[in-house]
Amino acid sequence: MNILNISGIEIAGIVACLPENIIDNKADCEKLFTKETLETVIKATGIKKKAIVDAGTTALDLGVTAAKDLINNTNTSPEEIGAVICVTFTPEHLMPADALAAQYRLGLPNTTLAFDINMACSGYGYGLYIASTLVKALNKKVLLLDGDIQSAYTSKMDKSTYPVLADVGTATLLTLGNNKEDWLFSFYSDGSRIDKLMIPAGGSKYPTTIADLDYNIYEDDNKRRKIDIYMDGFEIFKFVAQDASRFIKQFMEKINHSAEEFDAFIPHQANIYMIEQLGKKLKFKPKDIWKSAGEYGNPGSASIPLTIARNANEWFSDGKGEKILLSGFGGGLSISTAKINLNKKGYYKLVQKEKGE
Amino acid sequence: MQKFLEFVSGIFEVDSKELSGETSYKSIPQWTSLMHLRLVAEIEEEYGVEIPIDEVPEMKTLTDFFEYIKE
Repeated sequence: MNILNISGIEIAGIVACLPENIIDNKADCEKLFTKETLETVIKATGIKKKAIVDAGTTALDLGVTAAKDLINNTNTSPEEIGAVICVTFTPEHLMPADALAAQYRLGLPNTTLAFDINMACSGYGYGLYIASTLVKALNKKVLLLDGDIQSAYTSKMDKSTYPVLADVGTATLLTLGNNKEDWLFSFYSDGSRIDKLMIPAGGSKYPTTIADLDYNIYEDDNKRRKIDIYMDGFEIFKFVAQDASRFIKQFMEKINHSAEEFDAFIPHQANIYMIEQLGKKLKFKPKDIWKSAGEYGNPGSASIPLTIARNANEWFSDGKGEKILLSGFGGGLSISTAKINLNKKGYYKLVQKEKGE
Repeated sequence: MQKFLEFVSGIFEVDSKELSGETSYKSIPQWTSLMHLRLVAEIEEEYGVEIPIDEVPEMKTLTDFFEYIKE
């Protein structure tokens, strides 16, 4: 296991922009399940509501809205920002990267480094690490936009994905700071299982054909198109329950931190059951596990910054500590995990995109 | 075991006669990954047991679950 070390970085703030609609998941999944099954599927996943965009709204739209609020409220001038990175697998276009449009829409200088990181649910840790290294290399602030519009790639007739997946855009601003403790990161890759969670068609391997727009019934009794997200629910469950929980545990051992030495655990918001069970396995107390999936669903890698934006103010106003264990896991298959400090003086906010804005 | 199968038949909404200890997650269409989570949650609640998360993916047949609650 490689431990990557970064010192002297601080989070100036994190803003999450919710999409136009926060919908009732039970009503939304009525056609997928019988009434009784629906009740307990909602109970088992704990996802009561989902954040879903109006068609045509992009992850970048939400990220830019979040970033504008963050920039204004941290009194940051565009010249202070040296790089903008977008973590997304649902960019506005296959080419160029979303980060270029972000640079323009946010009025950042042409000298700004702008590029995307294409990762799914594990993406925030990757973004945070790369952004942190750039803060030091450039001696400037770095803006990290993490967001996805999964609803655009989710079949309404897929029982594995439709009841859980959601949309959100977030912005994180990183600066040089005086953290007492280093931030530590570790990453895990298993490309032998790329087909367990993927969008099969639409890339250069299988360019979209007319047939890919047809809905097919698959072995798993789900109906979807080849341009929709496919998730092998059992395999992904196994990956999180076994590989991810083992990897995070090894990370904690390697950096000599037990659950008690962290103030909080912020996992990717796969679903409430998984979050609670994973937290329990790692010996975190339920009250120290941060959640947002019950209210907004699983929005991919943006689930971690969304959860921070939602919970940080209340947490710090209760006088609680800054030392956090983060972990994202999913498509790849991949895992990112990190020990960081959230800045209690940072700016944390949830905003929502208005209809037609 | 019969009582357990009846309990599970209620969850999967099938006739308990269609279920046996050999029934696995691949043998009935109702047994999806989300239903697997639900099954674990319902069994934990009904029988007052805790099934560790890393053992859950290894539980593939109803006998696997029954062995757990029998202990």
